[in-house]
Amino acid sequence: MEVIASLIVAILTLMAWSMLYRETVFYRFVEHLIIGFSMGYTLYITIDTLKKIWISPMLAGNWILIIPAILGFLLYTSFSERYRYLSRWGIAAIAGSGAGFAVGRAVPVQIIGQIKPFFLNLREVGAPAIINWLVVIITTVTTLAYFTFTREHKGALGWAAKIGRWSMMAAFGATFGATIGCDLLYIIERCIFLHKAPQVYLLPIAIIVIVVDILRRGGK
Amino acid sequence: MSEKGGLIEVLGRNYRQVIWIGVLILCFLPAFVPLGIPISIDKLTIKAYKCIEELEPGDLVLVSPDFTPGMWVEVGPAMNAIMQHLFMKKVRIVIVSFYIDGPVLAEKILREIDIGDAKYGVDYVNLGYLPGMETAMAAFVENPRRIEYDYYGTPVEELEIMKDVKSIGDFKLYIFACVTWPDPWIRQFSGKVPKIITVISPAAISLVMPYVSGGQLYSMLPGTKGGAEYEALMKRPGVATSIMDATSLCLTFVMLLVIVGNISYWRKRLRGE
Amino acid sequence: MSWVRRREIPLLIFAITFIIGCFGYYIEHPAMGKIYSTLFDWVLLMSNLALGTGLIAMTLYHGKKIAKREKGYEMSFVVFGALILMFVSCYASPASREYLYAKIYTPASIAILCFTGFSEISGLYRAFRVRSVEAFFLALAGFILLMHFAPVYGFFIPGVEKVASWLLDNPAMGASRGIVIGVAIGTIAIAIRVLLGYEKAYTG
Repeated sequence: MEVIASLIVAILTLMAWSMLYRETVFYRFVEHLIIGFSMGYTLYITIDTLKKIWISPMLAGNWILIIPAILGFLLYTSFSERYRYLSRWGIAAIAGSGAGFAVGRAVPVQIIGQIKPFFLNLREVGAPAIINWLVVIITTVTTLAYFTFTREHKGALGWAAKIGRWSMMAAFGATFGATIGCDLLYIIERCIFLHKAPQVYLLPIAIIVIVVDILRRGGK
Repeated sequence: MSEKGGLIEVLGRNYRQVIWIGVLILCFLPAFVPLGIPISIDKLTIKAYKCIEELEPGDLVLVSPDFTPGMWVEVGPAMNAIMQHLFMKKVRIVIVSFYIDGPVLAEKILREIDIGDAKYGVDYVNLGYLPGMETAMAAFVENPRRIEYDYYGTPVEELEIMKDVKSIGDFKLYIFACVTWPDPWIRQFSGKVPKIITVISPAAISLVMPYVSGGQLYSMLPGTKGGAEYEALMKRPGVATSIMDATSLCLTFVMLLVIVGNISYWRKRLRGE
Repeated sequence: MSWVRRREIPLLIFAITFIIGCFGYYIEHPAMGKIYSTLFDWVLLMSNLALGTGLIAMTLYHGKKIAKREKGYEMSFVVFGALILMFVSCYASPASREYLYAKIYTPASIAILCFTGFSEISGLYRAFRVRSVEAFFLALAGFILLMHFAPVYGFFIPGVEKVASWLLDNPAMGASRGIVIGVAIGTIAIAIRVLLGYEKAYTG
């Protein structure tokens, strides 16, 4: 069973990678296969979770759950031109509570929690720590200045916004560099998988198929 | 010089194909010929390792593998390493997922590591998926016993491990793996459990740093690199370590590309093209 | 029945759930605790049902494609075939679920996601060109992080790790902190805008 799975996956990997050569039906096949698998699993977990958080508690006597179920099923009216407005009720409940839980915690964690580290006893730390502290303060404040849109970015605010933009570029550069570092892992992982037997024997076959296709197409 | 200039011009015109072929060769090379390039260990990985090392047998640890199957390579190997360490420390593990794929990915992790003589329901449990993302996290924090059935449909009261889980404060540590903006997890769990460690996609590393610096997060592992460092600390090389050889080679190639790209651009610019 | 169409109803639902969600945690009262806890049960159920909307949308999209024999409709059969296969294997047994999910679906997804790597690398060739001061900072930080993520440099050149750590701990962290605070303030502002009826995306 392991060998069969390995061969199936190797064939799927090479079919997907055929896109590197040119747009092919093989790539589209793998792409749609994954969409289908994802939908199948989502359907399974939705029904399974529904049984656990709705059907079972209802059968145990928690009949009040019929109200959120109705609001939840009203979400499906979004597919009807005529009754679409009813889906807004469920969406409003989900969005309202989600925003409430997020805002309630954003103040202590993301605002107060992020301002707190600025309070540093400068007498207890050395010069490097003070310099770093200044760097952090300047980059934070100037980044916030960049997002101040109620005033035109001129004069002191203009300079602050400019430094803020440079700081953000450093942060985005770090993010982009790190993203490259992690997205290469997908290719590496697949290569490590493909180099093992029996899937490694599929590599020359794939190369031959590409060469034949190039010749058939007259080197286009 | 003219030949070099010509090469750079050709690279500039057909750069995509050249890059892809180069990347594929460099990714395959260490797979066939392992290079054994050494790795350095980051201070945050050491901090995470020490944190788990200090746990006592029987302590309760909450784990959320909240990522998608495609993202497995980014955080999966690091999660394997951390989970392996948790089982070695004989702590009790409660797994809950806020992503639909979490429960089955937890199964994958448990199958790939050595869980020793740990028993399901006694030493570890997979509570499955709780829908609603941040709302679900807030709900779990408010009452972890809200989940009445585990992933396999067993009532939670019948599981021995859950007898000691009465509130979120019973957990000594929370570990979550995610590949997106980590704010929801930090917002809801910060201050509720003594320590939080995240295994995060390196793409989100700079977004996580304010929380590490602010103390909301105890430590973090930046994806598979963090996983390889963790495996080195545990002296159990695994998947993450095997990936690192090719990473070093490919990233060197990428850095060369950046340099070549800039030379090509500045040559054109200075020529006034 | 014209009242059901009024946009004040979703706005009212948003306001009630928002207030309970936001302040319920901080108000220590048995009644409030009960309401707060009930809200969770309700929203979790609704969120689960919301997953179905995505499935229906995809089913309708591919169903229509097949019905109208649109270009590439054959691939829609692949979608439905894979859907049924995964659904049946998930229900058949945990072993069959794990086999299809972990051994086939996961690696196949990784194969597709490889294209993010391929396209990013070819994009990087242009993205890290130093055209301006901003581009210089972007390229510099990116380059340092590339070295940080290639373990060999950290091992042989200890300074690399120090510089990368300093960058992540100070300037990049400071900018990210500004973004985090900005996002938090923005979240609050959006919520207030919805409550006041200026933002209509959720309430119609």
